[in-house]
Amino acid sequence: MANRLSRRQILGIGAGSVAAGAAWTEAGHSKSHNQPPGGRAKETGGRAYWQESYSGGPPNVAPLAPGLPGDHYKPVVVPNGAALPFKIVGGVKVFHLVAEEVDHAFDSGLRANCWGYNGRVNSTVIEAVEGERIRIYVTNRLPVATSVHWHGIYLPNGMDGVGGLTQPYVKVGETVKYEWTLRQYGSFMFHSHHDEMTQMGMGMIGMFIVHPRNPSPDYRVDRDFSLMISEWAVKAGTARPNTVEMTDFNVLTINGKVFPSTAPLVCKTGDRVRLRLGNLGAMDHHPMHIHGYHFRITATDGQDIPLSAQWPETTVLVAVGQTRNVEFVADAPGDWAFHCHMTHHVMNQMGHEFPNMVGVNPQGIDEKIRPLLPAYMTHGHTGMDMGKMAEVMPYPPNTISMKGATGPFGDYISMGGLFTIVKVRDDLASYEGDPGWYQQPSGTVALKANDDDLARDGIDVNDGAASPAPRSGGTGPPAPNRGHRH
Amino acid sequence: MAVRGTVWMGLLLLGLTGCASVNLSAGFPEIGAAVEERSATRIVWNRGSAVDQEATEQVRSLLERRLTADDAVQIAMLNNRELQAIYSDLGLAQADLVQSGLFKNPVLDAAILFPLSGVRPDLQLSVVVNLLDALYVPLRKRVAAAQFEEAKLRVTGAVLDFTAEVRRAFYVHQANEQMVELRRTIVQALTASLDVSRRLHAAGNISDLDLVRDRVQAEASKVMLRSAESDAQQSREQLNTLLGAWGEDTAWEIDGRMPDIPAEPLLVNGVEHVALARSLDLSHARQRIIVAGQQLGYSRASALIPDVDLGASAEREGGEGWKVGPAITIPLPLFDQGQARIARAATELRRAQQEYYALGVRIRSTARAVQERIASARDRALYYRDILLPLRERIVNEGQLHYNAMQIGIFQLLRDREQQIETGVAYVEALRDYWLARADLAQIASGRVPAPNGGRVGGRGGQMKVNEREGH
Ligand SMILES: [Cu+2]
Repeated sequence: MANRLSRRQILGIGAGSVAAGAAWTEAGHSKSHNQPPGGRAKETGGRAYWQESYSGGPPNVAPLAPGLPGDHYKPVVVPNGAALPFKIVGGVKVFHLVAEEVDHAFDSGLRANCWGYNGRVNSTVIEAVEGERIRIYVTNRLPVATSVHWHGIYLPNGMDGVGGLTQPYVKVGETVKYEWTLRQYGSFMFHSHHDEMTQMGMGMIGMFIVHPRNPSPDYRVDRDFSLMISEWAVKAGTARPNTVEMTDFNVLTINGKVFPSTAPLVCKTGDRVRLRLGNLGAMDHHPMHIHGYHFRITATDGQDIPLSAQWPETTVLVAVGQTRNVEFVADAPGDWAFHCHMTHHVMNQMGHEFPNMVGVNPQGIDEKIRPLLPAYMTHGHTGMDMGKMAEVMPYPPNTISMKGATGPFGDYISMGGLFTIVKVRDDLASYEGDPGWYQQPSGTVALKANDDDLARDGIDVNDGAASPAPRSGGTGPPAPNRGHRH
Repeated sequence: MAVRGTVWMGLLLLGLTGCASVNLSAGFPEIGAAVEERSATRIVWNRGSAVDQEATEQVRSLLERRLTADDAVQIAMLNNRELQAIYSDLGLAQADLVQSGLFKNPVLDAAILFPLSGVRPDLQLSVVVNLLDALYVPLRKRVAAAQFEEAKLRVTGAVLDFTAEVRRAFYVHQANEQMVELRRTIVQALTASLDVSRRLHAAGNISDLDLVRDRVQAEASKVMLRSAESDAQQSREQLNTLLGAWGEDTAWEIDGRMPDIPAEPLLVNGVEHVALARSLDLSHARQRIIVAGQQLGYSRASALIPDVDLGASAEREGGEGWKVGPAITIPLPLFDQGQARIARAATELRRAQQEYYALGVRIRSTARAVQERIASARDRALYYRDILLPLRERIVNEGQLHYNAMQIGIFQLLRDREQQIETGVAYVEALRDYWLARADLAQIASGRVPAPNGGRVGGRGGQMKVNEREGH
């Protein structure tokens, strides 16, 4: 292993040399770094790559010196979260993970009693460096036993954290010690592996980022975001995730937050940007979609993808239990949406019992029902775009149903859940904070067409033939299937 | 001489009995006083006098206002003809009393015999008077007097039962009217729900199946409304009958809703004791013991010599002069020595005694049962009013918030509203049960003991009458 690492060092220094490329191929299980177009490194791949090991090789490798942020790696950005602090004791990087109850705010309108690590839910990130030895103390301040599994990481079997299988439970009030040497780099995760449905449903998950030792320049990015995706069942008006729910998840989060509380991903024009996406939700895969760019999927589950195998995407599917790294160059300034493309996942606490009112003629309904229910007002007949209404109609306490945010044009952004904004700016004083709404250069915003334009281009809005035929006579359904008697 | 003697004897007997005449209203003032004392209600015996007109005017003016339970009782007291008919029991008993004091009329026996050989016919005359009447009349009068007392108690009891019946009918009707109001609101809610369903269906958002399901709910609620309307109409007619109202008098309206449960629980100490002390049924039963006792005395006295006829007979045979002599008839107690009559009277007495004690047990038990019914109905009504109805209201209010947040739809909201009204129905039922039990308690306090079902306990005569009237 030391041999491999030394080769990696060589690679770091003299990347692109034929010799290094050959050595890589020989070493077999070393990994390719992300390759920019026209990258110099030779690609690896083929059967030989897999033959040596599926598990990172023998675990008894000599650790390297602990890596330090700034010196040995560029820390990831954790929107709405933070990396777990550490100290170095006798050449070992020591972390202290505390499993505990957390009063968590998904958004300004929704709090819940959750379980998490070190006072955060889904947004505590363990950050380490390839080759170093880590020691993680896990203190259990929950009312039940737990354990921590290090998802995707090569380690001795007894450190794998499956409660009851590879170790006794971490009992209430106990502190247990996990220790091993990291033999890989990439985007990984950690989560409770005891009563997962309850404990992960309560929020006991996090990203585990391992930086490569001496990364190649090709690997380096300007903005490296760690984004943990999850889903919850928090019924409107309740204040605890329902962990027996199996299918109906109504709060979908990035690092434990829903839009508009998701912190924007702030970039400077021209930055190389990496999004590390992990999904530890219960049931749902998420096709995460970016606007304005194509990105490349550069790594899956902590393994880099050879350049030749990468292809451009605007949507990356992140299945449950997977991580995906995507990278792009943020060369188009603006406010770009980044969201799950499953439409339910950019909503919040929708109710299943709300009938489909779309297209229903509301005339006279209120007058009939108000004698019985004085506060009644028909809604939903034009869909669920009612964010504004949500602000005037009283809601149950602790509910962010139908909540979105008012955008730069005064209109409501009728989205929630798995939604955030990549904010790319030419001029940026600091990456910290929200740079506000993008000011589009004049003439580059879709606005109401003026008469001159219409006249010039011969668009007659009143001419039925020239435009999609307006529906006449209301919203008649296809004739209902009547008389179908047997 | 003999004829004169007979006349003299007749006059003597006439003097013994006196000139007894029948006063048909005897006893009524006492009943009126008893009823007024026990139920604060004035009764009038309607017999074609000026008082009748006064009563009619009072009834008219009462019918013009929104009736309370007390008003209904007063109208019924003045206007119900069946009650008037019951008063006739008094007249009948009074007539019996007078009858019992009358001697049997003397018997004149005359015969003419035509001899086959002689010329002149024989004449035989006799005047016979029942001798023992002189002894038995006082005894018979005591029996009849006891029976008259019994009749007065019976009539008083029937009147008091009647007031309770009117009160109960009133509360039942009041509750029924409230039910109609509530059922109408449920129909309104489900019809509104159906209206929304129709629009959803028209928009293509729900299936024929869903629409039909929603329609069934709405239509079913109409059946229940119709049923409630009918109940209200039936109880109205029941009240009409009791009020003796017909024609334009049936246009009365009752006073709003049932009174709320009084804030303070009704504290009746020793309901059993009150029931026993005030019980007309017990007095009545006691009076029946007295009647049976008197009857037994009479039977004993007349057992051996049930009839002795004393008289004078005169005879003129042929051309001879009159022969006059006394005559006496005494039945020989060879076969009927009166033992059956005595045994019968003694059995009647024993039965009356057993009935008296049995009635006491029932009265105690019924008093306790009524007390429990009041407490239970009160608790239920208060629970509905103070706990369940506010909770139902809360569900509707919270549901409105969840509706706003698109968690539930209008259908759920209207169903919750419907359930709120159904809880109101249950509350009205509990309230009705409370006032019905209170009417029963009032009946107990006036000396009558209702059965758990609101019928009558004991008092055979009165009970029969009341049951006939209830006959539904
Ligand atoms: Cu999704």
